[in-house]
Amino acid sequence: MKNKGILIKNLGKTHENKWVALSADRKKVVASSISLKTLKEKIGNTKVVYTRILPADTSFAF
Amino acid sequence: MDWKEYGYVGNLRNWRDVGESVIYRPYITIYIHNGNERIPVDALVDSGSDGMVIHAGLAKDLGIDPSKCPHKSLGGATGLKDGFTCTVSYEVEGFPKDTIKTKAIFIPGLPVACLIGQEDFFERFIVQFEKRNNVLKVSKAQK
Repeated sequence: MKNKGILIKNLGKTHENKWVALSADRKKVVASSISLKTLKEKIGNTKVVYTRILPADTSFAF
Repeated sequence: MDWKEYGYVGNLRNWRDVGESVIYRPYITIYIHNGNERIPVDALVDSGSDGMVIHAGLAKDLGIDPSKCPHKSLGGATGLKDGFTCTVSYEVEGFPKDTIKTKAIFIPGLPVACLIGQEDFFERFIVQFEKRNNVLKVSKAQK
């Protein structure tokens, strides 16, 4: 078994339930904010992927 | 068949528990657009979802005015939520020429940025969830 999953560096509890901009390879957090508008202002023209970080202590079924 | 691979994205179950107890989920990068607005987001590939669901916070950046969109409810595993619908388009990373046009439901407070589901994604792609290796394999479905 080879784990091909991506574990994002510098991700922590402070990112939970926020908008997070990941690097294009999704391996690290570039910036985060409660507001998507503020986040976009922070990152400028940097190439990123937007996501939201789920709380670590909660299980999900969508 | 030409398969493209995408690593699942991991999240610790407990932030203090580094290196242990990681939950990996099948996310894939998509580029959502509406008119000239285009946003790259990580979408959760959700075979249990009828179609595309988007966090309502993205509507403004897509140039969508919720007050002009029909309201619709979305049922989930834990209840019913109110939102609105709007037609958007998106491309999946690795398949830039395949634009998917679909009616998405926008939900305030959705825990993830976006879900892609049966009517938009699974009807167009063959998908293998390889959990034991935490990898998602996607190929274009033949017509």
